[in-house]
Amino acid sequence: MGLLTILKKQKLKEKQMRILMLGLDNAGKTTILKKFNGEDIDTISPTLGFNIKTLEHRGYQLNVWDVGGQTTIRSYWRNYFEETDGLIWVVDCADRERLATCRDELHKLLQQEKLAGASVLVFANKQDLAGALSSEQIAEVLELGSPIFKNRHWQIHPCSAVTGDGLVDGVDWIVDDIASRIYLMD
Amino acid sequence: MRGDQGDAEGEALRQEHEVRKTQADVEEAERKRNALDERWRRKLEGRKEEQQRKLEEKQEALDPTQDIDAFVKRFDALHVCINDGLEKAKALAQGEKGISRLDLKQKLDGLVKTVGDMQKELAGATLYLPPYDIRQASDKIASATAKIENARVELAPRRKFAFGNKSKPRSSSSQNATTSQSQQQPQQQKQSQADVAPPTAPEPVRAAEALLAKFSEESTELVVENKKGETINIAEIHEVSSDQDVRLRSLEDCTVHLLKPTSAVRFLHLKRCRIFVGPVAGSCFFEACEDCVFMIASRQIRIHDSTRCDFYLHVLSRPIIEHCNALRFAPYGLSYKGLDSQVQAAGLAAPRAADMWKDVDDFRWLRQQQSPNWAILDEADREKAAL
Repeated sequence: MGLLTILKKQKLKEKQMRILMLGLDNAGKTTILKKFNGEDIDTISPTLGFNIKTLEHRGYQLNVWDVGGQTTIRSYWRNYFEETDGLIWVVDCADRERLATCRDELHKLLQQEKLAGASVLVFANKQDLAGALSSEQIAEVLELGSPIFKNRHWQIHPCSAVTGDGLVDGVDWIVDDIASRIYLMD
Repeated sequence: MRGDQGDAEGEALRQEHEVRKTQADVEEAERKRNALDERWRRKLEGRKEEQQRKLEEKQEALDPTQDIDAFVKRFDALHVCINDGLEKAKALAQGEKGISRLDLKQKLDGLVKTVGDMQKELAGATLYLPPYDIRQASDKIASATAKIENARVELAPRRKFAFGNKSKPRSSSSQNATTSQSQQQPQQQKQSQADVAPPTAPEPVRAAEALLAKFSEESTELVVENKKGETINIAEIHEVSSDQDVRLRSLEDCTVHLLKPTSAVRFLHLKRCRIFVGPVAGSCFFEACEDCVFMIASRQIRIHDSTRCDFYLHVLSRPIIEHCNALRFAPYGLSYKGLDSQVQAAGLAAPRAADMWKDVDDFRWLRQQQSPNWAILDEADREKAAL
């Protein structure tokens, strides 16, 4: 029994997860990634292509793909779907004008076959802004209660990339969820 | 004696005969052996030839240089074929009006198939190709795919793009901008949902709009909208805290002063406005602005769908533009009492060299050369504003 536990732990140690981070432009994807990784967030330029970061979190190796959200490059998102274990969808909660677009893009993603098995974490970002909607309100607008979420592992977490609030909670959830889904089943 | 002689002679003769006989035997045997050898030799030679032939065949298959050449030849032929096809498609699309979208689409689909062939070729050749060639080849494949994709967007846009343009009321005047938006949005969403494979229930669309309206009523965001020909000093009308996000929307011929530190500002559907803004600790987002002048200090600048605007910026990251033209950029020219300390407090203080007002990236122009969509404002034409 003891040996088995050790072996299992060893096995888990090597485990990698591929996490895709998407959302409209100006949602704060790169800022979340850098803040979470403890990097400087003062001079982040809008992402022209994508950033990849490999993070160690709770014994897992997370390969996080942060892809730019401008309309011009949204059509390239599908190039990153393959073998994605988790999708982090980032929402600018103060951007009311584009919440409808945000919802449509998210629903479009969830209909993608290649993302069918992925756990979905919605980050209700920019909670530090005075005019930000709450995560409950965002959940309503994004229609997270609709049937396409029914058979999916998903959660919404409020956060602020600038202050760092809520980031760890959200990432903890998605890592645990992926782990329980993929690695602990046997 | 004689007899002895004769005997001896006879003996010699016999011996000679014997020798001859053995010689003949030997010769006979030699002949036979030779014949056998000959047969063997021929057999061996045949076998050797066979081996040689097989070896050559094998070597031919293994010989890397020969095959790399062959691969490059085949691969480049496909590549040329794609480029030709693209040129032809472009010529067709520009030349006659007769070519239908469907025909173009079929042509482009054919090219995609050719790219598939290229990929197959490469996949088959990865065993013996050196890494450099593999990289070159996959770069070629990637660029061909991108070119075809671009051509598709340009020549035969999918439905998605058609209503994407329609939904953005770029040309509508500010007064009906709000109404046209609210009318168009539900329609647009229905369309976009229809575009995605299985249509989800149509009711939630309305629900979302209603929800947003409700949330707006209870919100604490700061909105200035639907004004014409006014001068607005926001800090005089509203209390502005440093974590405030501000939205300026559908303004025409207005002058706006926002001389307080804020966290985020959105500029939407502005026409012929002059906008003076103090430090924004987060990002500034512009959409569908025309003929405006902006003076802004900010961490991030994103400009979409805008034309003929001048931006006087102090910015800590590379400004980006998308679907814009005739934009001009200049260094921040605004000064007012307390600005410096506000900039300091917002974390935007930076040495001159770190100010990136002229390092503009254009999402519609990813080349080394200067984008035609923006320029640096001539020093002689620059304004200064002291408020």
